Amino acid sequence: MPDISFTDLSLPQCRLSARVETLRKAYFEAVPEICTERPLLITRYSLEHGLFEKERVSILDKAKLYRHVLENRTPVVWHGQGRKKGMASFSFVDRQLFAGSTTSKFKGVPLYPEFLGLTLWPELWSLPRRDSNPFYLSKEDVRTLNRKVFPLWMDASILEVARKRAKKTGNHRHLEQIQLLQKLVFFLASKAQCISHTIPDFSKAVSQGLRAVVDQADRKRSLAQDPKQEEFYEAVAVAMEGIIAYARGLSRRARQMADREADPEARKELTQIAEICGRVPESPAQSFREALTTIWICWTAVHLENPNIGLSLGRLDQVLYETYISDIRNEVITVEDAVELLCCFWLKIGDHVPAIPISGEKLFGGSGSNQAITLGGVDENGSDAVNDLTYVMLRAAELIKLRDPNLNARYHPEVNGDAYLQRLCEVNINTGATPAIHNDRAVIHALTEKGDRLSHARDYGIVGCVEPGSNGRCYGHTAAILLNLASVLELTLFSGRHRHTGLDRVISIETGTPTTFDAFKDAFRAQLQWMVDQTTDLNNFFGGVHQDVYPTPILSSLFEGPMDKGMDLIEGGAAINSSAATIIGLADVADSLSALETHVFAEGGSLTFPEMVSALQQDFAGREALRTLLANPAKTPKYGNDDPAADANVTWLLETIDTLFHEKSNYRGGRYRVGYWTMTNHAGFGRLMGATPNGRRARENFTSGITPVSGVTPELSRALHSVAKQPARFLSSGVALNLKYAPEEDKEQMLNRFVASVKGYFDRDLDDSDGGMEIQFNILDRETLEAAARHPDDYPELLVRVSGYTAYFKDLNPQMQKEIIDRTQYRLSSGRMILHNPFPLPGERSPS
Amino acid sequence: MKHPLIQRVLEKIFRLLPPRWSDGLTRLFSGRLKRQIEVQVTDDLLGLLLGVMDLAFVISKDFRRNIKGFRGKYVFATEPAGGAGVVEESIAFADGAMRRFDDALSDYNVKVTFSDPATLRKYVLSTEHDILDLMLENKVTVEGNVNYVYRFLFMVSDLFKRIGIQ
Repeated sequence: MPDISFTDLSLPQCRLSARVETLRKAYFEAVPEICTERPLLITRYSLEHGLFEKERVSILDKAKLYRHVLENRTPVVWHGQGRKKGMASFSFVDRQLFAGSTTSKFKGVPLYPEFLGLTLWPELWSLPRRDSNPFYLSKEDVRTLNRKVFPLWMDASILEVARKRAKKTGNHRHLEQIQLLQKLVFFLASKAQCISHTIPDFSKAVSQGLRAVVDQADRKRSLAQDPKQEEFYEAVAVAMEGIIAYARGLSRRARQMADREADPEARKELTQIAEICGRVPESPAQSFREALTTIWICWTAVHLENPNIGLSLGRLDQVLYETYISDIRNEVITVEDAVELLCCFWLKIGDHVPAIPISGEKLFGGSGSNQAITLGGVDENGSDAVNDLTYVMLRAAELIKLRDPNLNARYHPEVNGDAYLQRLCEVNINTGATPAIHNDRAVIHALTEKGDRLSHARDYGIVGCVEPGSNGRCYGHTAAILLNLASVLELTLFSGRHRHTGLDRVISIETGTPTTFDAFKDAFRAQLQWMVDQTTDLNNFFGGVHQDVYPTPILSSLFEGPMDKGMDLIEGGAAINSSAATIIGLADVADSLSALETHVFAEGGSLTFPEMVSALQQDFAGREALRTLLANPAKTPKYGNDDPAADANVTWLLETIDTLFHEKSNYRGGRYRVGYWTMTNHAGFGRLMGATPNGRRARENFTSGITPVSGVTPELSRALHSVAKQPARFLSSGVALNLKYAPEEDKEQMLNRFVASVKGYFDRDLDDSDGGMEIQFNILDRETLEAAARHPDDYPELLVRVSGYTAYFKDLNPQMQKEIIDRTQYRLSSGRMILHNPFPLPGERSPS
Repeated sequence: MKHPLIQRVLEKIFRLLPPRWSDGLTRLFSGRLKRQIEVQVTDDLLGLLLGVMDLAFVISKDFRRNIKGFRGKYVFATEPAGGAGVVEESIAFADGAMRRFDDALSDYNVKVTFSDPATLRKYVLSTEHDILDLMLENKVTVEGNVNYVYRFLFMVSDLFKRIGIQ
């Protein structure tokens, strides 16, 4: 374990520099702008080289394509201009320390027509005017997209290639699954949108440089016997040359700017940028800044290839530590310099947002790119990995308070120190929402249970929201399937039918009317099996399409495994080849099982199964007494109250879901894992669903992640205990436990209780479990949230935890804002829930 | 269905008009459509919309660029009020022109079914943000390649922009 040199871990001497203040102000002022550069370059090249006509696009085709884009894209050193609300342009003094950008814009929206980019087509004229998260797009760019880009991809997007393929081969099963997908209410299969969710391995790029990767690829190519391997290594070399060419272009551009620059300080900075980009990422990084530059330039290239959804940066405090500490020891930089560099880096990481159509905004809006950074925890040998840079990064995050990157901290209860945990809690109080805290013991156990080597499991990083994956080794598509568990419940209640698609049509299998709770659980299991079959089969089918038309030479070059196997990630080149489903609606379904068990199937139950079904169909109209009974934690067991019966139903669900998914193999030879993090999908799916037996009315939000239902868990310690006792081995793709604490006047007491609550949750003595796996917070008073919902423009920087990632509250749709406002709020000093009335949606509000 | 020869002649004549004039001319013929969109929708909305679009392709060279090189077949179906049965409209784009058909095409790229004309109105006015609600409420079903729908909806928004429907 490296010694911690700081006496005050909060690093109070570090503040935002004037440079960062200026950039941050511009960042928050800027409206995202659609960038047409990538789609135009990709489309033209694909047209000129006949890629649209190919049934299979080889990895070498892709590598040449990306090299072409990297060599021809605009090398932006300083932007200096953005668009503000109302879409007028504004200027600012851009003295970024890192050159290059994800798009050609200061805050850009990259488009991926190969995936779902065309969903923006109907909105091209109205994007700048839409109410929810508008994007700037010039008239010229509308014409470019409408005439030169989108038409070429109409039959070539992943979804359409898949549909065509299924149709051509007469594969009705997959066509029906695609139709189910398009109903939106059962599941989402995200391969039509991206794979992305993973962490590259930057260590080689930083320590050896990309030239070493090229040389290695050339050597391996000369020795390869298999033509496919030969092609793979050639593709690696071509792709890496592309990244090197982009960096050289940035260097040239910075030098040109320096030559024209009158201000001597700016000229010096531009010259430095030119020198750095002239060296890295081609050569090994020799300073902290060079290491950051290497990662940043590689990151832009990774995003050129892979959609900006859930790609994550991993354990940067480990990857960057050697260069950091060397610079500090040699007095090349101060700690304050390091914080400034990190703030600039953070702003670069957040220089893009995903392209979300208005329908997506309405259902799932407010999400950033969810680029997770992971700090702390243990190293591959199980030793304490927290170092000085961990604290420097925490300070940078605390000062800059950005949505992206999504900060995650690992904490091992038996290895990491109390002071570290205290600092994590303190940063949460100061930012109100970050970092999420992960229990190493539980996560490592969960990963080894699924077959990961212990050293690999210990070296996990967080992907996207909260999903653990071995850093640079696990190609795990953690968001491959988003399964609405309430639809499984629905199919069980209505014997294979769904109210949303009409009760006159059998969607899955008829399981009849159960007469006992065991029979109900058997029926539920059968419906779940059907859903698991559909979702994994479709995901594997889409995976096959990716293998044929979307190889990933850039990501494969920056990963452990592909270079050894001579095989692309999409073919199974990674060391770990899992896929994962995340489950939405756990707590509502678990509480529904408990309600059915207690009031329908138990001896002396107060209503029959048909009566319950009838009440649900009527959304409890005329049955308010029944609804109150079902929702009342004193009368109906609820998960989150340390009630053995209710918690047992949760455990049964977790085990059943994990067992059924883990039996399935994916298209890369790996197995499926399961997580419980919902992003904003619990609000989105909630809108689609009828009333549920736990007393939830139709269209109401489901509860997020693995969190107990809001408002029914009055005691914090019981809520934590219920969650912590759930076995980690069933949660291998991560969980999000969302808690909301009220700010308190006595900060010291609050911090102490905060730390105690996390320690208690992670405690392994609880029922011999591993302790809770993850916990994340909103530390905000309700008045602020309500005011922000009513006057969003007054709170542009208000950061909240959704279910996994952080978001700006103003960007969330009204349904999601309501969900966060209505979440159970605890006062740490009493450990009790604070009672509130539900917050009304906009249409239900009285003027104020 | 227009005769292709007449269409070509008309296109050549209208090509002489400056773009603003051709948009203005289209606007002259779109009063009924505008009323349906902005005031009250009736069962013939789909026919009106396609009619004005068809006209705009003839009159406006700039609008016609939306379908340059595009080949695509669409079937739109609505169920008018009063249970009068499903009304289907088929259109095809080819050779830089739009053709309407009396009979439903079977080899379509996409078929969009609206539960009623009001749903169609909401659907084409994508700025009203109702598309998702309509799909979620099962008021619209899409069979086939949804990218063709996106393209069509862009053309509708472009048409509306030209004729002053916001």
